[in-house]
Amino acid sequence: MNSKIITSNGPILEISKLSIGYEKKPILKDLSFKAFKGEVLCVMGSNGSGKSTLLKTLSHLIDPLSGSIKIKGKKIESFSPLDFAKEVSVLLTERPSLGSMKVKEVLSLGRFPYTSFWGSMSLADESIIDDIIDLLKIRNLINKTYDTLSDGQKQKVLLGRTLAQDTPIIILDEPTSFLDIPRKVEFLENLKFLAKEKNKMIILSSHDWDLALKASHSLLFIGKDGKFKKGFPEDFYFNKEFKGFLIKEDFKISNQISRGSTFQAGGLNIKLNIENQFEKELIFKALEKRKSLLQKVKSSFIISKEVNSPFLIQGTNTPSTKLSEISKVIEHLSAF
Amino acid sequence: MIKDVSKNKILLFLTMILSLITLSIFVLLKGPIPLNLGDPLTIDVLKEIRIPKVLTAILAGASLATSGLLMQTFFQNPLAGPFVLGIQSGSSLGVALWVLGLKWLPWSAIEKYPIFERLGLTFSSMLGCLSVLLLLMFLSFRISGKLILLILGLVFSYISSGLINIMSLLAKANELKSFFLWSQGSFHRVSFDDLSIFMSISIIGLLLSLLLSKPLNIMLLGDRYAQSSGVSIRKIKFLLIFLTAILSGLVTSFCGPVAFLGVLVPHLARKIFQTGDHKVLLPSVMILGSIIALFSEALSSLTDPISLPLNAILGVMGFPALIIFLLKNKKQQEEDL
Repeated sequence: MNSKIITSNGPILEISKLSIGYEKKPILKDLSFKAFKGEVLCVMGSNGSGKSTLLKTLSHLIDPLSGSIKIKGKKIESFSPLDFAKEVSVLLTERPSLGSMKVKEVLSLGRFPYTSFWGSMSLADESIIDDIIDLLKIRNLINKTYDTLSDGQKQKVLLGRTLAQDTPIIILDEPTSFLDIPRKVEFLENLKFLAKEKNKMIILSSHDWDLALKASHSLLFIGKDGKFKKGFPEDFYFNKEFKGFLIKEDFKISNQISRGSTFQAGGLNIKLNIENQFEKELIFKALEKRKSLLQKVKSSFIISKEVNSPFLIQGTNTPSTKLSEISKVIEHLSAF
Repeated sequence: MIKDVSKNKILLFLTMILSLITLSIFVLLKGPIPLNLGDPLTIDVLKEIRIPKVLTAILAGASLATSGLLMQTFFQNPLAGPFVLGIQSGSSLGVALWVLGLKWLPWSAIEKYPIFERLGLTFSSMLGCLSVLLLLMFLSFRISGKLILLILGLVFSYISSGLINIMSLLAKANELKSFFLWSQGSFHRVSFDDLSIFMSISIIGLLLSLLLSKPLNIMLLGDRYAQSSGVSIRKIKFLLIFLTAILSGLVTSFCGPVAFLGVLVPHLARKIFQTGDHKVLLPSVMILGSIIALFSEALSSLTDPISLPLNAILGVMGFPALIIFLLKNKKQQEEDL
């Protein structure tokens, strides 16, 4: 597993001083961040905050007002359309009407940048489509006419088309909007699989905090006034920065088996001494998401936290430290 | 049901080609002058009238249906057809200027020359088409929105029909009749001498359309998805408008504004073949277009001694047939689910 959050390989996506919007009316100004392979970045914010515009700008469908977007160190303007299509694939919120097109045909459209002049599929193309059919569990749909599917099924098929493009960067605009709870859980699993096993960099926009906390490594929050903040999704929770938007006391994490209080990865052993069950779950998840980074550490720690107070990290041979954010905790631990 | 359809694609194509051949033979044999082998008149009739008529119907049907499919995919609109870009309106205006406006136009003198007497209609129609084509090319470079193109086409057709109405008020009865006859469409107007021009342009246009089947498929998802799949929207837009204008402009110039065919046939093809794949749709639309054109021609030759105008047949037969077909097919689809 070479899923890295802070990696020596350099970022796959690099955004600097980006201003976006339509015409001369900027929606977001001076946005800079980097993203790495295996990272899931969730973009959140209220309606009209510019999430969709940002994703379209990153997909090169809209030109930025200023600033630069680089993929693998190369400015996106310097890619040919076909080469760009091999780096970035996108799922949009628009729902095309596809007439009598079959689901299989829609999925095959994802192979467009790779197929021959006539668009005929090679065996390799077929097997990629086949893998996606299994991953999304849509084998029962492949011979159906796309237009006769339900909204949720259509969403899955369009996602399948995007994945069929098989690009290192995947951009998904509101991918869970038409999905019911079981489908959403399934989607989360797919997301984890793509990031971890296939080493994809995934950017998605969502209104769903559950999704942000469970599956994404980083969160870009866009406020109404064009202010934005990027960080670990867990820290948004602990800092109570977006109260009202986020936290209800009965916040539930679905499908969880209660586990012990010990996190283990490689030579690392952490005992979680946390009173609130939800917070404990959250910290456990946060550690698990960055497992690849932490498993190099050979040491034991105790992390304690009371509600509304910072994390206390005690190592066997190190002085105890108080830290207020999960991102800092992980940074602290990975330094050993 | 649907799985069977995909297996039977070849069978369907064979059936269509067989009916095309049968209809061609029928139209070749049927007509006011009975054929008699060994009679020199028969050879002349075949060469000068029947063969050009059959070939014109086949190619005109294929061209109109193809440009209809191109436009429906391009605009993502099931009601689009060859007329949406205003090509047929431009053509009508050109012909109206020629037929109805001769008396107060200075170039009426050229009417005396025999070449213009024969080709005047075609020529003026072509000029009308070409001016709309040039205007469209210019606009497509400056305007990015498709909807605006659609609206402009509509506005242009209103303007031209307004102008034609004004001209008809000032025209004489015989001029009106010849304009009316032109506007009804006919496959009889391409003579043996003009056939080579008509054939070569339409065949080139049809072949070029076939080459676009891969980008056309991705265009079904909409501009944004097409762009993110690596299609240059600017280029494909230019190509599609150009091809549609050439194909429908050519047919309208020679045969008049043939109605409905371009809108109807793509729907029939999609229903019959149950696919959105242009690799299948383009050839099937071409053959189906030819079949329907020949069928209408056959019907009009059955009503001897008067031959019914083409647009009257297409209008009276075409739409009810499509509606019945669509309703029947919808029921079947629901049963499949």
